[in-house]
Amino acid sequence: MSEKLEQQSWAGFAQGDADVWREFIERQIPRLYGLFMGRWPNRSLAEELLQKTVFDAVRGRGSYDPAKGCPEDWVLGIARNNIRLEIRRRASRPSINGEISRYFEAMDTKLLPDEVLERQEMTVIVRSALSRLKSKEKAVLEAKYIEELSANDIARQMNTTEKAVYILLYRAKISLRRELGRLASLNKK
Amino acid sequence: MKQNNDNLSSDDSVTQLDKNFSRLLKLTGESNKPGRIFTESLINGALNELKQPEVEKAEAKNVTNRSGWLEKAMGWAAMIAVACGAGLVVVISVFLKMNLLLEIIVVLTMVFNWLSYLGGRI
Repeated sequence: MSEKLEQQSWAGFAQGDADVWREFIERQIPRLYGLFMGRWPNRSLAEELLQKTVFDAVRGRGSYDPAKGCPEDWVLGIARNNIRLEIRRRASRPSINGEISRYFEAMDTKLLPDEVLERQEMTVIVRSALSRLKSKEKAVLEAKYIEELSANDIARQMNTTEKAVYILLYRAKISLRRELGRLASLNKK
Repeated sequence: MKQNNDNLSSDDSVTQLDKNFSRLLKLTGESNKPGRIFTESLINGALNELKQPEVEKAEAKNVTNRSGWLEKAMGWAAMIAVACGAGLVVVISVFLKMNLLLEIIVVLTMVFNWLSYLGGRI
């Protein structure tokens, strides 16, 4: 019975059945995310690679052949291929040298390289900087950048107005920027 | 491709600083699973992509055909323009009694340009 159900699912998979795909993607997300995080401990990069893998799978579903294996293995192959591409991309980039403070100074205009984000001391610096902020500032930053909530949701969560959230966020960003710069220069010394 | 559902960032354009803050703060978050909003947005995006492949493929095919036709027409137009240009140079140089060497250089330059254009197409 379950085998028959699985075969029906596979047929729906190749035909692009929305319910089958929803279930499939929901099941694969934690697995693939874990795979990417295991390779590079960088949440933003893991999300980027996860998104690329899911879209590659959706767009390339016509190339899936049930005779060669189950969809899970097929999507894992796509994920591994994306890891290989990322490795190649990194190899072609100039190596990251110098102090973290140099990158923090330019963070208004340049995206911090993944290699800098993945340095061991980076998580410690960010945690320390956050811990030095006022509790409201820390909360608003976490809500916006980690939980990715909208201003409206943050306002509701914090029992305040949207305008107050904007002001608080503005101040919190200035404080965090200042603390990051200070801690990075201390790290340099 | 990455969806941003955040009202805060839709009001202003998302700056590099915002992106960097997001990347930095995510280092401190829970790392064993992606964010709920990201997950929902990814699933919805993928399902939307699933719904419209045929329409997109047809559109992409039309664009390819149109661009191929346009390229050919432009190629012929460029070739005719180069040939006319070369003819014009010869005629003008005869009228102005231009130095023969200079005339040869001008014509050769045009021919070279033509060949490099064809080389680029191949």
